[in-house]
Amino acid sequence: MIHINHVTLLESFRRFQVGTSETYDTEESLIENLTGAFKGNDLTNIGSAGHYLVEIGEQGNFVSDEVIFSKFGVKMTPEQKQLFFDHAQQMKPFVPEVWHKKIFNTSRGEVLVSGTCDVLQGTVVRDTKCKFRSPSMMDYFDSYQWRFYLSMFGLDRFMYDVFEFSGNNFRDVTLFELKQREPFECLRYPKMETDLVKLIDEFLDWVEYRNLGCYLKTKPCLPRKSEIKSINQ
Amino acid sequence: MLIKRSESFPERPVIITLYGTPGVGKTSVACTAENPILVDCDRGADRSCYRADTIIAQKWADVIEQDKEFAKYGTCILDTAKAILDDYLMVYVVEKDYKLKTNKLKAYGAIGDEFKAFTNCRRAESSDIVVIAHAKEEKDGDVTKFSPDITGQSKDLILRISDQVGYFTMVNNKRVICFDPTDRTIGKNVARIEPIEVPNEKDPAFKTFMAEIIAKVKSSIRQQSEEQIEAQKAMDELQLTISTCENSDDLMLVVEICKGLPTHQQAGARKLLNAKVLALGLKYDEATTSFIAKPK
Repeated sequence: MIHINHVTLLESFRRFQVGTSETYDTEESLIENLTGAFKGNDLTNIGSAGHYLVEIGEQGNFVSDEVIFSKFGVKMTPEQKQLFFDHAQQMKPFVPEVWHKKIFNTSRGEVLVSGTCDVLQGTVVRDTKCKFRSPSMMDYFDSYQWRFYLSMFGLDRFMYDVFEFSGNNFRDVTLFELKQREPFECLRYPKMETDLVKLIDEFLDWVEYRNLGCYLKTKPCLPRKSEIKSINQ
Repeated sequence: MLIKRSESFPERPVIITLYGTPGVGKTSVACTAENPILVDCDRGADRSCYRADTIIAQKWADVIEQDKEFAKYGTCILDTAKAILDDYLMVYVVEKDYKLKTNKLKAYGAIGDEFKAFTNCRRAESSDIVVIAHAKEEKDGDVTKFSPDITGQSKDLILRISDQVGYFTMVNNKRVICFDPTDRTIGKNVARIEPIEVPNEKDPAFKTFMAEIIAKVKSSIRQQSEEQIEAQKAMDELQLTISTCENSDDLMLVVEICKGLPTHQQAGARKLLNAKVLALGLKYDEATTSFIAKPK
């Protein structure tokens, strides 16, 4: 079975296909995502630090500067860290970083899509976004990330929790203001599943056209070893 | 009012945004809401075939002047979002703070604040809000999309605060509202309303058309709130059960419980269970279908 091992890959493909950004959503960056050549950059490291602060904040733990720096090479002020911590506390109870999978029936047969959502809060899937310029909600609205997660988890509501830094200086954001925007809600709609299958088909057409199929097949077809197989089968 | 985590939210007023092609009948349809008042900033109320009490405003101060009137009505119709946000409120915030004339970023922030203050007042009066907007054709790569004709940041605001967003257009000579997002239109459909044909003005169903949509949206939001409480409660209990697991038998019991849970709860439980299995120094053994000690 073909396995697309992260929803982000499909969203990257969609952004490339519609030409969302000529700078970031290039075919080269999409191939880097698919082949695993992309290892992150300063901005994604700041984002990862934000995710980590939310995850640890759920347990009521505050993360020290040393831990943030050693894990992500990122510097943040106590106020910035507090904002992520407060956000986590307000959302409780929730389960952070939840992996899940779903089989889609496409024109090429069954395709397994998997991914990890940032937050599963009751019947709501949430995603924490760190941005470095004023975010456009239309970008989130158009995204297929929320559509895939709603489909995979069998839920109806998805919320984007957007944190906006007023700038960035490599991985040091201590000089910049951090604001939390109001959450942006996206909802399931009846034709959503058809849209998802269509995107998977288009993505696989592109993979075939560029002869990149080996990068899909080399991914594990089943949950990671650490996953307990007896559940959810 | 304090609402505990275990309690569902009381029914609240909602915000519906309708956008569409000119002349399709957006204002007329909006006026079929319950006890409506129309704020006409588009100077098109006289074209509407279905009338409501109307505030004809030349500037935002004209609307503010009538502030006490709104409490007498059940639905406030704002026609159009672009005129109010991009024109009237832009002039209003610059009058209040001239520096905003050149600082557009701050100006849009101030517009958002004024608009939110206005909508919060209406909500406090238990009034629903219907926002009307024209449709704008936009190129998104190779795809032509229709979205509410409002400037960027104001559009974000409207889409964020709206509970339901529908595209109103003509399909085969019939007036149709589609609340689902499609590859050509923006939508938000909390009430899961299928694309709906607007009845003819002479049809008795037309008179309560928007009132019924608003009622459906309110009912869906309330139902979602109740489902969320149930799911949170179930996850709370599961977290507690997993935290008390001490051995393979306890864990296998949780696995059995998980099998009966909905997909999303199974996924959440698997994450929690994995952490517990690791903490206990165990691993799942397929041969014995139990958790055994992890070799050191």
